[in-house]
Amino acid sequence: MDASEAQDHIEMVDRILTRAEGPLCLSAFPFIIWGLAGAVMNVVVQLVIVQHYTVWLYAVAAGALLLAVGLSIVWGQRLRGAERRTLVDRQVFYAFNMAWVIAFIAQIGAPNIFAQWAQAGLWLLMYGAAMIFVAILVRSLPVFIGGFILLAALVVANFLLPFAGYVLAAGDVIGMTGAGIALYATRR
Amino acid sequence: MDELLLSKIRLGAIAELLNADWVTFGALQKSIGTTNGNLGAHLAKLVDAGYVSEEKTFVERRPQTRYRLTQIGRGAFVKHVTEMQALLKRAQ
Repeated sequence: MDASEAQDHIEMVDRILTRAEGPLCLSAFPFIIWGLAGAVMNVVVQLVIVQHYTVWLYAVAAGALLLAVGLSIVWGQRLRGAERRTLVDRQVFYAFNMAWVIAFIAQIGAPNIFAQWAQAGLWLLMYGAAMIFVAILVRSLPVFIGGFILLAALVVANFLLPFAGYVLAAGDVIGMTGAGIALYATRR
Repeated sequence: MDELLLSKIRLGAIAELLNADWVTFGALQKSIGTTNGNLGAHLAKLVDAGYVSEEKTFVERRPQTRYRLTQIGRGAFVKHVTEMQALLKRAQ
């Protein structure tokens, strides 16, 4: 190989790598769906625990959870048809799924430790941390602000305990669904 | 230099896989711009050398072949590019 050939090859590699570094796209869909599902669950917990509505309302929360899981599975199936998956896509996938699995295990496996609002708080904490991690990874301001709003909602809820469910639900809607809508709007 | 990576098509395929978890055969073909048979032959050489791994799957009942860069391939690519850069430096 001579120098001109090496130059040509290096330029090609550079072109390919520059193209691959292009805008890193996060899908808005999971943020919108999980933000809404989380809000429904927090409002239901507020109504049942604080305002003593019938426990049958938990069926609504379970329905929202199942709907979010179902829609996420359908969305995941559609992603399988993609032509490529970047290393960043994989890290984002692991970050959110790890947050989900840890929060789920804590909720199911340690209800005495994570009782009442601690459960809702744990979900916000895990998702807030995952969102901030992902935002730094893909350099996304809406996702970073969304993650910060989730954590801020947790602090505010601590001081407004009689309305904790509503505050946490607002955090879900503004932080997660809001971040999803911002991602969707900036991509159009 | 790495003999396998002296081919522009094979080097291009490795560069495409560098930042990817996996890439389909179709996407590689589109970005490299060569025929099915030609790309298939080049990828087979990379697979045989252990630079790239091949995974066959079905998406909506249609077969899809995905390629991933292995650690061996990543190391070979970095070494090869470094050597090309050194060659350029010497020529200047």
